[in-house]
Amino acid sequence: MDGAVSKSFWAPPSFAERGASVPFTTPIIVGARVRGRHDTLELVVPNPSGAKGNYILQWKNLPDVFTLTVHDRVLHRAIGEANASTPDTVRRATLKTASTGLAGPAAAKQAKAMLKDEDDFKLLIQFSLLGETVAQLSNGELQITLAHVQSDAGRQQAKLILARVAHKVKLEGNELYARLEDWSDRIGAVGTSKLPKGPRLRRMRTRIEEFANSIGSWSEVDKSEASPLGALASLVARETAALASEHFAVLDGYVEKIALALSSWDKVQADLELQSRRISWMLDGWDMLVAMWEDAVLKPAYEQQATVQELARILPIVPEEEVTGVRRDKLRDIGIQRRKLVKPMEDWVSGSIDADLRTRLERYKAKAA
Amino acid sequence: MTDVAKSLGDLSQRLSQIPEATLVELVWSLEGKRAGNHTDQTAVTLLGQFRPRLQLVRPIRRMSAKRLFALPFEDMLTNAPPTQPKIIGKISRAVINPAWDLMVDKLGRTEIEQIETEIRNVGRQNASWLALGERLWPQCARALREIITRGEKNVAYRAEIVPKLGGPEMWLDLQDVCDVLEIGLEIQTMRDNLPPKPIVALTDEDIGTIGLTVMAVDEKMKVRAPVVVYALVARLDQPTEILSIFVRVAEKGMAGSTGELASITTEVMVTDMEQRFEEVRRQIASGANDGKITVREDLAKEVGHHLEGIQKGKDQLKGTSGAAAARRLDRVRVKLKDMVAANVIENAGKDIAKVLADLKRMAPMAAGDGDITEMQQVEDRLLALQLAGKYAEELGLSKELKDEIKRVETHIDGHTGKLFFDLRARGLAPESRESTEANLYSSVRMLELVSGAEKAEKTLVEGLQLIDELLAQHRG
Repeated sequence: MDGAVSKSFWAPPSFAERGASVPFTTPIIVGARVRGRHDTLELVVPNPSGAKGNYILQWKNLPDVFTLTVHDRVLHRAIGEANASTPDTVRRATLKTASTGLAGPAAAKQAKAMLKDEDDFKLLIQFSLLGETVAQLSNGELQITLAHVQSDAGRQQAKLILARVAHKVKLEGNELYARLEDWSDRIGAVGTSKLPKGPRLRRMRTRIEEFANSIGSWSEVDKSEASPLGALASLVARETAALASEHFAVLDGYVEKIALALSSWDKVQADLELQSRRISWMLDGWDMLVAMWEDAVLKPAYEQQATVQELARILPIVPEEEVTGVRRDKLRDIGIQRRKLVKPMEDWVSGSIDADLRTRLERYKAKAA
Repeated sequence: MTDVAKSLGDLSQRLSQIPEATLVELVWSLEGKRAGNHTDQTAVTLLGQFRPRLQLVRPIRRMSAKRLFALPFEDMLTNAPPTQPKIIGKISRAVINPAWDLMVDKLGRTEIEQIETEIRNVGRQNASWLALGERLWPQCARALREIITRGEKNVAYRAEIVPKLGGPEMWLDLQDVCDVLEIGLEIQTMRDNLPPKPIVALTDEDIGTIGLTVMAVDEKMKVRAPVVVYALVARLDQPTEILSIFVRVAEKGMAGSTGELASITTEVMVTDMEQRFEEVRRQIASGANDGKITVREDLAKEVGHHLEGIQKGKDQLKGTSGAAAARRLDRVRVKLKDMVAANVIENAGKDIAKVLADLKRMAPMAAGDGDITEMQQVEDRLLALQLAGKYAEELGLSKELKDEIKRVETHIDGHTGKLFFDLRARGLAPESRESTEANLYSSVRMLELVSGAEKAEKTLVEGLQLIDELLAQHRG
């Protein structure tokens, strides 16, 4: 399979087949993804010749095939060592690598802030679920504060409060606490809608919606050949955000009716993980695209047009098999449209590392959330 | 970072998370407040904070009589200080308020208030302001022309007006404002029908629009034909494109007076190009960074972009009577060379040596801790150096660049060599691991930016192996 060119890049059948996005800073492999195959990792990269289709090679061979930036060499090792092939595991390796400063101080600062954010959010999600449970089960008579999740003593108190309402869902206090902890672990970066500062993936959905509006308006004004690609990117973004919203709604529905969710826990437990995982895959890779566009809108028109050409090439269209009915037909049409519109990108595929392109990729990394 | 700076950072972060629909409403409301009271600093500050997102979201901006007054010459505005000698084809932003006040004194508040009322009645969805402009611009032009004519005849009156404007250079800008407003309708019609600034390419339809403008101005007030050149050049991505535009206009049989404007066209084109670098030159010379980090990198990129424009302009001038213009373009190229030499190449080695001597303090910044501004400035220095490599030969700066890069490399090699030597000599305690790694990573990053990934990775691998060995020895 090493070096094989496959057309499935344009319409991968499933998320796992598509792979998880890896934010490399080497221009030639921009838009690359990693996927697990038979206990080994593979790199799926838009065809380095600049032509349509993708290129697949053994993960371990990557440094032998391309001249990589130091950041990417370190990231390549980190992903390999962690055997990471899902958005969450790749993200961990990515943030750890960026925090060394090898992609510049701004990317390092952003990576550290995001790592801290994730730790903070774990507590906040737990707090949000505990608070919601206690409020719903006690009809608003009892309350949980943030202090109840910030220390062992606080957690003990929280368990005591839970014990007072646990009987309403036919559970012991400790068991209820454990379920809520499990719930919060499963939804991770998706979080709940009750948090004041949206969890990462909810913020991402908002940014994708803004991206759809902004690039959509731009494509109405721009008269260059990049204009239809802007309209296509807007359509894909809108469609992705709408799909993700359906999954968010399912998860939010469980929080709205906590007693019901806890009473059919086995089924809900599995669904929490499934829905969260699907959101994570669905929004994977968009942070880079949104950052590319946010960076370009402050630039001259010729740079905006070049950016639209670049981002259209790596648009993460949701695989057809991941949806059903009318949506599937729509996604198929979008895929066909993209194949017709996107042109080879000679600028990004020179053998050496272009300083200008590399700094742009690092800037996107610093802006990605 | 101070508490105040942190609070401002947090506030800025929160502002960036305001949903688009809310932002549009907020901007509309804040602009209303600002229009009502120019000293409403909260509105002014918040609009400033929103500015980067305004370019992304592009909400409808609130029109006012003053904004309508300035609309036809909006593209020509510069932020040059009022004391800077008059620039042909440009108007200082600083002249708007005093010119407006003079004009309102002359015209009276009643008419302006009526226009303000009509603007409010038209509402926010209005696509073109031509109808109201057609009423306002001729009145403003007449009022300003009276002031200018009187000032030219009466030295005492002029001496009274000039300080109100902000200086003698502003008097010249006032004349340009008046010139534009005299053909405000024609210029704004052209602006409405052309792509937004900066224009990269023009369609045949756009060329037709320009041709119609040239002919309309010739018919209405031929003496104002240069204003069409000013307005067009200010809207172009590459000023040198103006030459081919006029050729295309002539091919359509709409040349009008453009043939007579050859000298003014080249003058404006060259001046515009020079001016585009003035601001960045001033910024680097003054050492003020205004929060902008990529000053040298942007300069290096812009120079590359404009060198392409110069070459294109020279190609277009080949075989024409534009030999003098070609020579002026060559002079711009020499200016660009001097600018790159002074601001990108010279002293890079010395600057990096200073950073390396202070790396104990700066390495955490390179890893994103605390205020990273200083480290970003170092990156800016090195990235600009690398970008200049793309055209150093064309500018005759190959040797200078190569020598400076060598000096930077020597300093970094010396630093990492000393780091490894000291580690081998003194060993490494586990508690020093983090700071040593930060020092290593930041040196490797700098090395990569000047010498490439191969050499930098070799240093990284050597350093990390050494750290592991020394920590193993410490444990043993």
